[in-house]
Amino acid sequence: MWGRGDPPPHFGTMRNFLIRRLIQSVILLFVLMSFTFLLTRMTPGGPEAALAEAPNVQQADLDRIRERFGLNDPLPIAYAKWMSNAIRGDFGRSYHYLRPPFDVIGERIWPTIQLGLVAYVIALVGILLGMIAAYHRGKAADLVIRVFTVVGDATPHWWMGLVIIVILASTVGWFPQGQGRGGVLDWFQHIIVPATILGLGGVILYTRFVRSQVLEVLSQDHVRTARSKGLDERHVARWHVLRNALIPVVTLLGSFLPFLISGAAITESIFNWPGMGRLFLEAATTRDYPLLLAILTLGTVATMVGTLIADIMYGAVDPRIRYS
Amino acid sequence: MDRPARTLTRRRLIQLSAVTAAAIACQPVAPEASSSPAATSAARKGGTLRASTLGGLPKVLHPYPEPQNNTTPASDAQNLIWAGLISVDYDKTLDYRAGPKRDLAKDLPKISSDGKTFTFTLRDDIKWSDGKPITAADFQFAWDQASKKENNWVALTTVVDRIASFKTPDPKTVEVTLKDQLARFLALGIAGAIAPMPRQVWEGKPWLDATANPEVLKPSVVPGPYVISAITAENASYTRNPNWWGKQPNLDGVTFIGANPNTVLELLNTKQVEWAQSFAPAQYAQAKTIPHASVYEWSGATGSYRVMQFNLDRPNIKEKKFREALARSINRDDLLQFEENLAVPQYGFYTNGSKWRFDNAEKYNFDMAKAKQLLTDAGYKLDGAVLKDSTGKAVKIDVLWPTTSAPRGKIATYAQQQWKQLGIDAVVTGMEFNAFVDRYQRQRDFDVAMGSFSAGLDPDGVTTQIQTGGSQNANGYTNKRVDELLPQGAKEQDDAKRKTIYDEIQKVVMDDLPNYYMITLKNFTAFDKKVKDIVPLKGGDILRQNNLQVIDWWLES
Repeated sequence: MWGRGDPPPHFGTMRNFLIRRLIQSVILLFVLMSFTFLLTRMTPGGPEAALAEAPNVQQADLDRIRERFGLNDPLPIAYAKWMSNAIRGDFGRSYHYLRPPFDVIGERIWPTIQLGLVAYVIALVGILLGMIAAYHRGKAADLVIRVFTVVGDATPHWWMGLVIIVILASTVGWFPQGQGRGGVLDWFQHIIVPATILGLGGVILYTRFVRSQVLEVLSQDHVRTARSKGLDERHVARWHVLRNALIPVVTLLGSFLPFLISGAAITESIFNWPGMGRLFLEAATTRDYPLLLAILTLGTVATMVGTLIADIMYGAVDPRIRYS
Repeated sequence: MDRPARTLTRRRLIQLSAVTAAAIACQPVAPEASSSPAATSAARKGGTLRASTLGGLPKVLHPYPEPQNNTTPASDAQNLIWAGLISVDYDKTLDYRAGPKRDLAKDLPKISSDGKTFTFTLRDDIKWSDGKPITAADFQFAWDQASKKENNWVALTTVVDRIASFKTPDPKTVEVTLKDQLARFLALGIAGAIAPMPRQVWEGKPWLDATANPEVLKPSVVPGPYVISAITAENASYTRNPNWWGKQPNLDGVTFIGANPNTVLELLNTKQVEWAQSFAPAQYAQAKTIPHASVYEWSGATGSYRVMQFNLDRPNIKEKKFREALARSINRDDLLQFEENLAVPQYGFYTNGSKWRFDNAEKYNFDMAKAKQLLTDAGYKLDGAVLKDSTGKAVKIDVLWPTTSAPRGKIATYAQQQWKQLGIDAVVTGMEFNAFVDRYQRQRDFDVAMGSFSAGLDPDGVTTQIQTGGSQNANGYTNKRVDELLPQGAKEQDDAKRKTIYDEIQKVVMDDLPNYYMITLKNFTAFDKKVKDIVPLKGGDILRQNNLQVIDWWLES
């Protein structure tokens, strides 16, 4: 038993694990940031390339832009400058917004988080569907759910978005565009369609994952024992099946954080949602390097933090996991 | 659609860039005339016009933008909120004027005997949106800032570098002296390019730092008929300027809503907007089916045209007969279908609507038999279905097109099939726009590129395409005679003599065939029928030209 003030069991190993993972993360972040920088710069075209077709832009203007944006620096020098500034949190100034990238990101991240959270709540429906499918294995409900997941998985989400727009336009004469700024109801009307489309992938993922996990747990001895003790089936399902089946689902949380931060470029574009996905698309097509690199760095950090959280939670919910 | 967000110049730069072709006939096919005679002026007041727009919304609204901020959405906004000394009458004369509705000069400038100094007199009633008068000092302040190299104004090369001095001897006078005498239209574009800046607001603030100077994002004091209401990532709204000195707009506000190619028309269809500003030619038929919409189609004197650009440094392509064979195997009439017939054939670098067009240059009309003969004459031989050069090597060419423009992709594929009949293996590659421009303009790694240019009103606009080393001369074209004639054309004061010069240029260039000019695109747009008094512009685009027709539009309740 723990004494009051004593560290919990494995606290030392957990602390060591965290320290080790943080050190690894810092190294990994450095490597990924370097890789991202190189990839960005190796992409054909630059922020000035598209301007070359404009009739009023002369070669001297293009040269001036390259000079101004530091694009004439040799790659190693440009990399060294960018990395040394980035380490200090200075990602430069967006070419198009004329502001530090994180100022722009700050305006776009909240709408993306809203969309991501609602989509995630919708995705959780997949847990219920997975349970239903598993408990009715081979029956009509299972078949319907499996067909739904196969069809849903095979249908591009952008296409689904367009179809929904056409259906809404031809039936109710309206479809959501933007966030909706007329109160909670207006906001909900605007967010529900893109969030549903975005959450559909999660629904399918969770349905499949939970179904296979539940089927696996159902065949295990402890469930058979619980049933043989005469426990109510709901109690078995909740405390012996679902609780164990959801342990691996926790690992999926790791991928949720970057999704929450990075947004969904296509869905946001279709529904004019002012989020990070659209911002990323914009930065990529205009080669707004400072903004693009800031978004990619944020996405990298979110992925690493998400993975770390998933690892910690995995250990927290499954006593069999030991950090060493 | 083609690059909706990137190309356009802002109002003053359109005047100035004055790229090609003067005027001609616009043939509006407007489905209905607009205003009801019974409507009173008061009944026309009010309402907000909502427009769905491609290409995003303006990120900054700096009056003297850097090149990367000089986008179409920014240009649309500039037309609503800023004003200049003079403007081009795109409705009727296609010439400069001091328009009574919005221009800040009383009249066109007095021009000195040497043709270099232009003296503008300001109107007496002009004022900023905060009610303070606009004076020559505001112009001087704007010039002093915009002319600094470090402020990176998009027109540093095309305007600032051509001005010798900018003076404001008294509060009502602006005097601009050019370094060289230029043709009148060109000169007026440069001399009148500087618009005022509210000195009282901007002085002492960083010119390009949007964090330290929020005016860069959202100018609070402007000289135009509208002021900014809100700029978000979803829409950009403008409301009537309460202190506007000119003709009062009917509309209380204008709101641009960001859309994508899939929603731009659906927003009009579902009455969430009253104007679908631009959409792809492939959507034209769909637009016509919207019962409450009026679709306008017309040919303006300015506009975009499709060009097949040849890289003159490449084997085979550098031979004139080979290029001519490629050109003669293309039927311009066939190309119209790729633009849903919203185009007309074009035979030179001036569009059909241009008064500078020259009809006696070689047109390279479709003639497949002649194309084959030209290749034979040049020493090429058909080996089965494969064309081989004089060394026996199979002829293969790289054709590039930007994936942002589906019609250009279709034209490239059509050309590939036509050239196959000549035994030429054409490899067609679609590229993301930025990568496309980089590869064909900067690296010049192509044989044939599916290009697109914008025509202006002044013939000198083609200089960048055909002058040795011109910024748009990706072909590597060079001709001494053309290089001699272009500066002469830019300076000639007499329009008739100017025409002779540009006729000769066209004759020489068309004989050399660095580009094969294919088709001119028509203008088209769609409004809700309740928007009244829309007149397709003789000059070109309905809003982006400097006519501010929006002042006259009104919404039927």
